[in-house]
Amino acid sequence: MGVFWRKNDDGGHPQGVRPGAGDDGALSEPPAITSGHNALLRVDGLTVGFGAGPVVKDVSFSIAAGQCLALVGESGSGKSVTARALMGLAGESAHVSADAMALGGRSLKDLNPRQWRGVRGKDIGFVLQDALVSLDPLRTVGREIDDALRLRTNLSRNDRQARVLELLRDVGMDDPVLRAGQRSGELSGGLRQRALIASAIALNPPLLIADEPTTALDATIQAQVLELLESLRGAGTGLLLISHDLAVVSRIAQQVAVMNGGRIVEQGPTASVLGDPQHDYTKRLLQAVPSGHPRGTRLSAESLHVHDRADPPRADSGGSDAEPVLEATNLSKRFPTSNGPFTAVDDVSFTLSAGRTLGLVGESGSGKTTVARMALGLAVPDAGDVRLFGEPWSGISEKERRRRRPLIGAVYQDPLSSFDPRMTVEQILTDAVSRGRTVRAGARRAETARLLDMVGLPVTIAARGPRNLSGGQRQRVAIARALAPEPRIVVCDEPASSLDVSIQAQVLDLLDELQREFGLSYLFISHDLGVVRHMSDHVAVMQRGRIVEQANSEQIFTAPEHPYTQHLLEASPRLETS
Amino acid sequence: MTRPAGIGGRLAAAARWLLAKALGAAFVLWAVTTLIFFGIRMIPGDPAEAILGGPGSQASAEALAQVRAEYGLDQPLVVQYFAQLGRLVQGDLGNSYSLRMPVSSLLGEQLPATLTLALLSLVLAWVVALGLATWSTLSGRSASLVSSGLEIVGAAVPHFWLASVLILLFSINLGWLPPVNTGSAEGLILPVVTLALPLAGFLGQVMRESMLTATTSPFALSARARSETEGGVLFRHSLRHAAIPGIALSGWAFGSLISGAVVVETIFARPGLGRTLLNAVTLRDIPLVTGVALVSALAYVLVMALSDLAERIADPRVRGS
Amino acid sequence: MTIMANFRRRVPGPSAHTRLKVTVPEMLAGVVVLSLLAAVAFPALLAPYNPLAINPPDAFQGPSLEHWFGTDESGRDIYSRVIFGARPSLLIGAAATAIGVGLALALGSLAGLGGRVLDFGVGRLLEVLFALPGLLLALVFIAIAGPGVVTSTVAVGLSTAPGYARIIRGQIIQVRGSGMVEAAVVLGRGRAQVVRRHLLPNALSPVFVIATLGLGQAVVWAASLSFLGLGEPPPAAEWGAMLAAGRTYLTTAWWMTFFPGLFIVFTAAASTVLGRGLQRRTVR
Repeated sequence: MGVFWRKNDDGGHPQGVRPGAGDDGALSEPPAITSGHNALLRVDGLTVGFGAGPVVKDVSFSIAAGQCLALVGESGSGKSVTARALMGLAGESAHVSADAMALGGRSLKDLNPRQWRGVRGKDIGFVLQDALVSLDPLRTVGREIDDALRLRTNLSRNDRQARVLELLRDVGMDDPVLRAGQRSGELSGGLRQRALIASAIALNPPLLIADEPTTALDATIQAQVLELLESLRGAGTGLLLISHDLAVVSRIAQQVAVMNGGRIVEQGPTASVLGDPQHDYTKRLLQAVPSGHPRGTRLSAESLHVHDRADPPRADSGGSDAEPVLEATNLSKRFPTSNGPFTAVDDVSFTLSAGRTLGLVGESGSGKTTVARMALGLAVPDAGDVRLFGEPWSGISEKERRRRRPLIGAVYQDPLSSFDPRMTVEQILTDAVSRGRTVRAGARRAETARLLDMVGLPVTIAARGPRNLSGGQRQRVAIARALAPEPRIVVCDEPASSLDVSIQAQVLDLLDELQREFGLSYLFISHDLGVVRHMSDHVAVMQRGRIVEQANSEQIFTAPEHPYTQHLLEASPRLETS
Repeated sequence: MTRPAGIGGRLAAAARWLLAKALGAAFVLWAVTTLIFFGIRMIPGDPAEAILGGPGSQASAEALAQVRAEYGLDQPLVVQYFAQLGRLVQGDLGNSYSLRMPVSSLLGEQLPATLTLALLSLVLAWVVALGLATWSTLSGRSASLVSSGLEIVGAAVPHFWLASVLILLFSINLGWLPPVNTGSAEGLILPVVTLALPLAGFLGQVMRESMLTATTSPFALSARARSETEGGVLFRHSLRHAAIPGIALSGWAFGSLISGAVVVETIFARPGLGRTLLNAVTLRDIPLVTGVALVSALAYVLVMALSDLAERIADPRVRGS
Repeated sequence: MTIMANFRRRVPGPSAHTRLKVTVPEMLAGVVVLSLLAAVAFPALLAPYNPLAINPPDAFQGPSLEHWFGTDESGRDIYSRVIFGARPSLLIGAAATAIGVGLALALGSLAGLGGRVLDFGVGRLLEVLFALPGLLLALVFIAIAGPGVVTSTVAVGLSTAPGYARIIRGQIIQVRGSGMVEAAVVLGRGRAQVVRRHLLPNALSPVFVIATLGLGQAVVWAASLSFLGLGEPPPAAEWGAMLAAGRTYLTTAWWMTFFPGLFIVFTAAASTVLGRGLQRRTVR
């Protein structure tokens, strides 16, 4: 089974799943859950291609009024193309065919552009990911919402204006008059997404398609937007939710369809698909979700790490007397803004112990990254200090710091921007080992091979540039570079946040293995509670520049004391698997 | 537009902006004067001789002395410099060597002609560029190739050649339009077209690109999902996105028009700053050169400020910064 | 960051393949550039006549099989003059571009690397130079330094410098704040090493592109100055000077103006197409 998976990953079988292969053969033709006549949307055998081979193959599902179907899959699985095909927006070069595609009894097959326009907005509403780019930044939110009304109703200007304000109120905007006059750039992420939803439901479409509607949002905002979608569904709207996030899906969908390689590999009621997955891919996807998996368990199907020997046991995880390697005391950092100084970090103290992971969790803007920069000696605290192995670190000059820099490495969220685009992988890695000195070609090759092997990458990628690597490979190279000077501490700032869940699982597993092998200490920063829980021994929760609570991981997640922590835990969707 | 900041705050911000622009303009004028003043004195040669028609004129010693006294050239350098700055503050740009007239009144006569020419050309360039961008966005790939070719060639055409070709075609062969300035509005057509087409090539490249970005953006997809037509996407969304880089570039464009006016005014024998500058340069009439430089620098700074302001109005995203 | 990462995943940019594919305009531009380079290197092989040899009986002949582009007022072959004119015209353009880029490198690096005070100073200087756009700065310089080939070349270089300087400064500042510089600091690299290994190479790689884009403009401006009588004087086979000479006879001998100008257009358009092609391939 594992070999089969690997092959898929390498692109050997672009189809992803062989229909009728062994144990999952029974599921290659998923039974329609909702019977045909009461379905709001019925799709049968939808296939979409762009010249070379279909990217969506024989997809069938149906949605009833007041029901939410989630289309789940990783990037490239064809879920977004499916959604666009339902609106006739797959693009001019797309070739769409289906045995049946009907909305409330009306066929959506072979519509001409004019007929498609009649469907859009009125029969199907569409909410895209990230409203910052999905609403025109030059037009006010009010005008964007008004568009559909202007185009499709005979309402007078005043009536439309009133309807816009009503819609803004319906989606939970505090001050509709003010908001209607603002542009997307002037709104916060949550408000923006609400405005986008308002523009999609302006004509009360019976079906709403939401493509990753909460992906770029913080947990608490995400919870609010999901609640809004949930209430729309409760009011009778059919909802097609496109998401990569199983936790979000488990929270609001009644039905789930799992897509891989353009096909639906498994579908059924949410509880049964997520609780008792039958298809191999679904199982793997579920296993890769870090929340609910205790620290130290594997997330990816198998180790890509080449060392065959058994993992050495984790450094004694019981006692609290482990050697402190990084201590921050009363750190504060302010930044000047046009409205006076902004306190990014306020009186933050923590201790990272040898061989342990300290998780730093918080929403965007909570000061996590500023803390990381101060820990790395890239930013100087306005007050307080950082000590590295008991010696001063933040208060000394860069020249003095440079000598001890090899002790502490860093892995970033966006590895691509941290690589020099002119360098190959080999140059990047040898540059990290050599500390700027020239190295003989032989030693260079051997060192590169050793480092790549350590992070489970083939040596054949050494000659490639970072642009020609996949996201997962890039992050592995970044990890190899961070470990090249043999540091004792690694600061990981959202190291897996922009990766697909299965790739994220591999990267997290790799970090875990490397920690055991080299006794590394991690300062692990993430907005994702599940990831932090899976990775950390100790967790500090940040809110508006302050650490509101810190304790060992189990305590934070099972018995949070601070109201903010409780709120955060509540808001963050968790995958409930029975 | 409802914005959190009160009227008072916005007035104060506007006043700060205005003050900053005014200080910037004053600095530019001072710097241009200073650079030319000291630049000319680093070059060997006698200004008095230049006033009397250059080294070839064999001017007598008395004549030279008289000219030196007349233009204050016998004073120490520092005195001359501050005297010039002092006059500049009062709006006095000195006397032209070659025309023996106050520079400021000379320029007052020439400025309107050049401004008319430049502004008309700017408008025409905008219309052509937006037209090309819209056409290529609406008509697909081949139109886009054609207009990108037109833009590249347009931007590559030198003014003097384009002017010659237009004269050949429309004046000499067809006889529709006068080849040189006649003072009539007809006489403006060829010069304006000559100046506008290369600029339209530059603007068109930028506008077409941002229009394309807008029509393929997620917000355009959202608009289509709200049942917006392709025309609606174009007029309600893309056109404004295309206009913004055009507005941002208009200050620069105006500058390039003033620069092009030197050639165009010369070819079409039109009055204006450009031709005055060329004559002054040929005769090395430094006060006149300085005067033209100052006036066009001032015009440029003003237009830059206006285009900055227009961009702030058109694009809420730059307002915050 | 997350937003962009997610968004980019969804809408893939042009693949490496389409980015590297040579387009038809690029091929045409390549042919133009190769022909021009051939004319620069071996004009005598391509031109049938001596560009300066006068032959009054042949004066003012229109284009024919014998004289492809016609002849001028002294019976000189325009085609031969255009071919021989490639060398001075392109050399002046290249020299002016080199001067402009050189000045801009000095100013831009000073501003980008030299700290706040220098950045401020260079910024103000550029503002002043920008206030005399295009030919105006060149003309003011010529007013001071006098006309001639050398001064007009320097003048064109000088007037292109502020634009380049601003791009270089912006590039340095962008790379300075990038993740790769931060990563190098975390790895313990010193300031000099960061500047030498990452900052300069990455900030200066676009210079090649903008110089290619700017070369055509420099040729046009230099020719404009010759046309205005401030550069190469007329008997010389330089394109701008040929146009200036032809201007007098525009009504009777259009070919004297048309063909040299056409070559300027070819040069400028080719440099734009190639520059944009380079830009597309080095985009990050």
